[in-house]
Amino acid sequence: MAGAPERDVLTDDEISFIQARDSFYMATVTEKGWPYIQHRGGPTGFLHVLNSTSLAFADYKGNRQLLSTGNLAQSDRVALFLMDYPQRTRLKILGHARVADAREHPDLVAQLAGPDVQSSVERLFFIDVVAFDWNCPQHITPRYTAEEIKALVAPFQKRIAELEAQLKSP
Amino acid sequence: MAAKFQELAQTDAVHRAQQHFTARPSAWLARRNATY
Repeated sequence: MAGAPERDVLTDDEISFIQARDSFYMATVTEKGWPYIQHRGGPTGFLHVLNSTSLAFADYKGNRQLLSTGNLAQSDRVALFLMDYPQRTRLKILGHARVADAREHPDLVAQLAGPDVQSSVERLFFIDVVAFDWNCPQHITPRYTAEEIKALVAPFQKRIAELEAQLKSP
Repeated sequence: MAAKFQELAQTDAVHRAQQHFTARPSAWLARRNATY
């Protein structure tokens, strides 16, 4: 598109959305040109916003396939897909990613992972954001995590307990 | 990993990443070394 900026810069809206996520999908490109998509999950906010154009997250010991890590050695292009199912909102991000060996960056490991899991961090992913886009909510089915359902039904459980107590009382 | 998926996804670059981050060679590496 003519007149597009050199890059999109994350605003407060994108930053707060990213910080509220507990998972996202990340696509890389294999050496053979195939797209490869991986699901990433962690505690809320595990995808850190370092600044308005930089994201980072810690990568832990896993299944040892290391497909995304290997792909990024050949092509640093990534696409991130972030979903908020209850709000039926999604954010797409394009960027360049690099992988750092966690053993060489203990200070960054401390910044990107909680103290209880730092010993399991093997890699650090850094993403230089180039562009992003929000999508419309059409065709997104609202879905809720166990924690979200727990919060939603808590008032009803409280009310049920109150009514049961009333029934038991003479 | 299913065989065809492995053929497409397990590239030399991925293998190098596995070598760097784990001392345990992949099954793919074992087969590759047996071939050459």
